[in-house]
Amino acid sequence: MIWVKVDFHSGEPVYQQIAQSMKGDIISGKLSRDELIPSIRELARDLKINPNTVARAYRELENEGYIYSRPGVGYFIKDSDKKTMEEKALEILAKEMAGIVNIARKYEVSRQKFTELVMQSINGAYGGDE
Amino acid sequence: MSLLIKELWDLRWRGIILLFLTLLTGYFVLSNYEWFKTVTDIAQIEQGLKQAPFLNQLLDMETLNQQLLELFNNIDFYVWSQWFGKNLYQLILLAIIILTFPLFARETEQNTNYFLLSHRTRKQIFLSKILASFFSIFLIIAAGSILPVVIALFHDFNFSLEQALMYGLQLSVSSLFLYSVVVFFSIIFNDVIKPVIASVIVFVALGLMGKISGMLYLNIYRYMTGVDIFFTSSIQTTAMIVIFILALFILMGSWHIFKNKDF
Amino acid sequence: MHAVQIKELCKSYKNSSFTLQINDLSLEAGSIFGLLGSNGAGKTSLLKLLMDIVRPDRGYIEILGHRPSEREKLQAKISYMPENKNLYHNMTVKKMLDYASAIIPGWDNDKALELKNIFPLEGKKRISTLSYGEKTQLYAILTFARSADLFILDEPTRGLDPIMQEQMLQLIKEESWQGKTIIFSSHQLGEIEESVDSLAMLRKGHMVLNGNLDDLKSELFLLKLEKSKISAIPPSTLDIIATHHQHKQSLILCQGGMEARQKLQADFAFLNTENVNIKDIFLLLMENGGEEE
Repeated sequence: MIWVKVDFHSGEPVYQQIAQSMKGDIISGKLSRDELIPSIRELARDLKINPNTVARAYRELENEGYIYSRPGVGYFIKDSDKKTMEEKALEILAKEMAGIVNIARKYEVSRQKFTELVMQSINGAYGGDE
Repeated sequence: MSLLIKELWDLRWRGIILLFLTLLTGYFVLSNYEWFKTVTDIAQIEQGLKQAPFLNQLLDMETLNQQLLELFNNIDFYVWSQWFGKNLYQLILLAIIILTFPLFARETEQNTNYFLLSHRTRKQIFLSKILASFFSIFLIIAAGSILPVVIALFHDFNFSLEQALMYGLQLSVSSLFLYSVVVFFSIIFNDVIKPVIASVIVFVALGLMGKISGMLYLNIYRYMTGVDIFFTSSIQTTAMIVIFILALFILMGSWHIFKNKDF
Repeated sequence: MHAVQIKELCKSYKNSSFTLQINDLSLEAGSIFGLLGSNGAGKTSLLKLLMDIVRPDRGYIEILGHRPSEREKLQAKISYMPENKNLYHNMTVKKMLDYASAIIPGWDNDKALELKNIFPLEGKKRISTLSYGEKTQLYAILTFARSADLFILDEPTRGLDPIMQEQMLQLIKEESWQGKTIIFSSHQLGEIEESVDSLAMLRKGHMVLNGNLDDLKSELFLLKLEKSKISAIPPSTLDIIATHHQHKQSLILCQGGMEARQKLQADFAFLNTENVNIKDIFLLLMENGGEEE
């Protein structure tokens, strides 16, 4: 059962929220390769949204190589090797980074201070020097 | 066509009461000739006749008195003057206004037009309402016209079905015209009070018009009361055709307004 | 496949100086379409024009492949809930429903029973004694207890308590899942945002926004700028939809996809672009709709 928390009142389009959420699950391994995911209708029913919106999310996921479809059978998680998964994770991380960097620039945080902050966070999360 | 049934259903109380009133009044007036003769005197009738403008102009006042005595003992005259010439046509006037004034105006006043227009076409709505209301009026006319025939069977006067049909026909055509006027007002006004007031004003004005000498033929009530039938035993065919066409004209105009109205 | 198509529509009301003008509007079949706008913006007028209750001065309207005046053909296919939910004063609720079952094409008694559970009403109550909300409940039953391809609903949730509002929206979604098209107008941005696929915003008789909800959220974004910084941005770099000046800052609603936004943010460090939801868009457009700065 795929659970996506949809916020209708967010400025982010619903189909994107679904796609992002599923990308996250796929990259983190929560959804394993060749796993059958709910059909468009099923997911639409579960989330109580228009099937077209789900269809749009699935199209994006398919275009970006996260899922594939077998006509008459359904949609499946694409088997991607570890390297591709890592690339995809980095892609998402890069987008988030761009946002954070912008905030730093907006508040005119110096390059040095910013780097220190980043290293602190990394050390905190990964432990020591990695 | 359940819209037609609903329209008839809406008319039921008014229709039944008016019908009952007509039959009751008719019975009382037509069965009590003997009592009537003893109770009234010629002077009163003379007064009454003087107020019937068309009669004044048909006969001069001198011969009137002579003929009055003759007529007074003539039951046919009694039947005509008291029933067709007076009570019945007044009841029909009442019926026309009461049964017709809210026909379209009430839907507008109650804002139920939206419901109606969602489920039936304007043509269906117009036809159902017209058919239901005029049919009810016609029933009362028919009952009132045939009543003398029925009552005559139990009393010592004659009233033929043929006479009933003649009076009934002129009543119906005249009524159709007056009815079309009320329909028109019911469509153009958005509340139910204005059609009543406007109709009464027009009905009175039509009566006044007839008092102008030279405009005798324009008095609708003359045709409604069937005075010509009484004196000539025949229907005023030309007038009937003209009135009928006028009525249709007003109804068509009303339909046109209803068809194009914004709600 | 379009359920509704409108071109060059114009309707002016002689009594007020109000004119409704819609140049181009299309609704896809099977979608839920929301109509937003303040009171008097023209929502009810537009819906009445679709139902041939009001006639346009000029313009082209096509509804389910027919002109609105072809009511005999459309009666069975369109279900309409008007803004004014009055019904026959002297009828009881039960009598009204009986009458409806006789007069409404495609009436479904089983569905009516289900709906009576969702929108409970006492059968013996006279309609004249019903509250506004109860009349809406009754109309909800009349509107949904029948088959139709298109549902036109004018403020369907107004007057309903939150639970029934939710159930009304659920009804709308369920009809949509079965391929029906629904148009509904509302004041409540929240419920519009949760249910519609596409929407239009009306302001003083004009359409100031129209499109698929997800697309609008993707393509529109907000800039918050101190007034002093506005001059730093050349106007040609921004596709401005609306602006709202507050005391110390300005809010600018712009059009542009992800790439345009990223470029903007790269070029101008101090800029912060934000996503917008319906409420943001609505408030900005209703303040000064369509004014270019």
